[in-house]
Amino acid sequence: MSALTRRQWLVGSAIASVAGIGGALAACSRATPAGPSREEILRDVVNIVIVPSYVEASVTAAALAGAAERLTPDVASLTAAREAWRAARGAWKITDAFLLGPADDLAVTGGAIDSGPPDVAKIEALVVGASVIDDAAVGSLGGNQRGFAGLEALLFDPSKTDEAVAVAFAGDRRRALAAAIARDLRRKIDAVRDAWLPEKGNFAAELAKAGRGSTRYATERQGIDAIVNAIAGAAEVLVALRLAKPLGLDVTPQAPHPELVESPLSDASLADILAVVDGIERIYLGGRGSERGAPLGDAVHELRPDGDDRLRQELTRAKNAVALVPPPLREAVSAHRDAAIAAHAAVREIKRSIVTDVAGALGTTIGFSVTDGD
Amino acid sequence: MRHLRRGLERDVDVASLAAFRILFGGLLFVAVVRTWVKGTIFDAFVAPKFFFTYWGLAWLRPLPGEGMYVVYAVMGIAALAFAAGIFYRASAIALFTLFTYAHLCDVTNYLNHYYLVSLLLLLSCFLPLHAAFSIDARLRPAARRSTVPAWMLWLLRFQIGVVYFFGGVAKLKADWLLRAMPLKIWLLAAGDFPLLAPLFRLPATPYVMSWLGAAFDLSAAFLLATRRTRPYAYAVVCVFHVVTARLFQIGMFPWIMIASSLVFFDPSWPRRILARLRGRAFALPAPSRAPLGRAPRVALAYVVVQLLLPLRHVVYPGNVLWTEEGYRFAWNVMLVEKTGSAEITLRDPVTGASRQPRVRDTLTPLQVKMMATQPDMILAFARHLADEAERRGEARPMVFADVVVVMGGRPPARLVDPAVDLAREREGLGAKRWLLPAPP
Repeated sequence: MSALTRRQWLVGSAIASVAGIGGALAACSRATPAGPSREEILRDVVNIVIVPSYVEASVTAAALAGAAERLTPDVASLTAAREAWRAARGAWKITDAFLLGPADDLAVTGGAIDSGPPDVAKIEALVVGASVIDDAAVGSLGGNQRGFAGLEALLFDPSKTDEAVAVAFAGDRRRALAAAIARDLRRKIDAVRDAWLPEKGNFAAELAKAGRGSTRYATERQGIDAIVNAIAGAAEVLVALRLAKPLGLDVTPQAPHPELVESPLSDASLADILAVVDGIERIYLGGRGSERGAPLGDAVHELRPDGDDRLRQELTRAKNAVALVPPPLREAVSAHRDAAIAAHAAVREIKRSIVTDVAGALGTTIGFSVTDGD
Repeated sequence: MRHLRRGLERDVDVASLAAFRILFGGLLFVAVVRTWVKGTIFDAFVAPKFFFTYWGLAWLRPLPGEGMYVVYAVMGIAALAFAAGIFYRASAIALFTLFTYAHLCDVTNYLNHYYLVSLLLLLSCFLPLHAAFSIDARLRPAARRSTVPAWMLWLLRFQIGVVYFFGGVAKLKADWLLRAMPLKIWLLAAGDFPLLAPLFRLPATPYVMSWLGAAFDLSAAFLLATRRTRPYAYAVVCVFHVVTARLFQIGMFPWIMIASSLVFFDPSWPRRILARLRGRAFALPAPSRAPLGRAPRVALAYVVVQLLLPLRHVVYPGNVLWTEEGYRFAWNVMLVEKTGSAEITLRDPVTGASRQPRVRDTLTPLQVKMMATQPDMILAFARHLADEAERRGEARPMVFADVVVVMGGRPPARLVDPAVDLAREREGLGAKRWLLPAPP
């Protein structure tokens, strides 16, 4: 074979290979995957789930601020403030399932939204003290004296009757402190919302346009990694901190530690857990209320239909198991231990499925490491 | 055989080896800067409370405090000196020692391309890569050489070729070829890839790319070594690595391979380019060589080790991708998508009381991720927890691991026998009998 012939042979082979591959691809082009594209998933998770959830949190925080301003020494105003606190708390806890971006940025939150448990002694010392109570003073308090924790300490005290708690608001300083903490909380939640809103900080575009001009998420995969890691992290916190620790599953001998429940004064611990599970479900199903988008679950279904089915069932099972725990959780960890352990096991299954089935199907790096792989 | 020997002993221009030194040293400097800037030094050496040591190297630890920052600073200086060819031997030895030390501190950080860098640096300690285009050669005539025996060039070519070839051999598995895993997962996750993204969503694409990828890896070294196919093969090498760099977070690996593969070109290629740039006629340098001593035999032994090491997994039972016995140091590059969830239970052997410590309380997120799929790391952590309990004055607990792993789209399955007390198991080179088989 001459040199020219060899070259012709090489070029011919290359053309034939390209043509063959092209033909094979064209032949299969009609059978495109059924699942949504990652672009659609990110867009809908941001626009249908995340941003509206922060708007909802902001609206309920505004209602809480109003209720705190209206506090008087009567039980009715206390009850209204407590209901507003629970509503705002529930709306915020849903966002724990997507703790990424502004909500995970201390420059935005100042660590002042949800840093429990409350330091009751310091809060009471502030109430009986002589220092000025205003927005600036509250702004310099530690995280466990402001935000949801600070208000919880002022509004709830399981050792006292509702009347006794309400009467305490006869004092100007207590009322002023509650109102100032609620205003501060509202400002912080609004700051997170604004950081997401398209017309303001527009972090929404950073995530929704991952890999398409986003400066935060250079690739679409990083965007998906961010939301999968967020729900995995939320589930991990529920399993290890919100349930295993109060149940004492991580120590020998296994003994209940009711003091480690979240929201210990308001007994909102179980509601907190349900809200986070709800948040995880919103992200996974790509919907909120009746509004539905392109679900992350459908992308999982494309490669691991059994894994997707399993997680959907586990989400329902976990919500049922948590709902079956007789409140409050601080008592259930001892008095209804089996039910509490069953709830722990059910939530653990969610975490395991996210880490294995979801991450495995989507090629997600759990741990969200910045290190390279090969 | 005689013909082969004569070929390996003939003189070849040292220029391409010198070019390799400059490019490789430059890339290592960039890698050191990148590691520093990304905060990886803190994440890998300062943040962890526990380090997964290699078998036989349990004594190796990162330097405390700011020590590892000093190590990386020295590495950066050594990389620049290496590239410039000043104090070449000292810089090569320092670079090899420090780089290898840093990456042997924790199994968590193992990457094939770090291993490759260590091997290339090891070879650099012995090869006269500073014999031309270096400050050493300019200042010290004794260091200057225009040619080297061909086997030195072929040793580097061999090292690069081994990565491709065994990377291809590792792909000759049903998962890769018949199920197109894990490319099926990875391509669907790359919907933002410029121009090609729509193709990635076609069902045939992962299959075509899997087969082409395996064919490319298996043939790359041979096509690069053949004069007629070299330019085409190198073009494919460049396209392949640029595509993988865009698809995956694999750091400096693609660029190191693109730069290193230049050693397959005619050894005088740098002189030809320089001559063309200067508008002068190219002239082959006169041969000049130093005595070889036992170097060729040592090189032969090195080659044999490098050929056997990637195949050692065959002596272990089960699927190497699942058991990971013989997986490292074997060029299993970008081969599997594995995620896992590991829960550890400690049980008092006397009272039967048990507890489940939170793994994240001790390990970093990256360590948690890595441990959840790698049996030797699971064993190391289990033994560590038992040792810690003993250190606190408790009875040595039994340690059980509930590890569920998903590999390449298969159903989730337990990796470790949950009934085996890992605190009693020892790490070693033998097969781990407490591993469960991979799911079908």
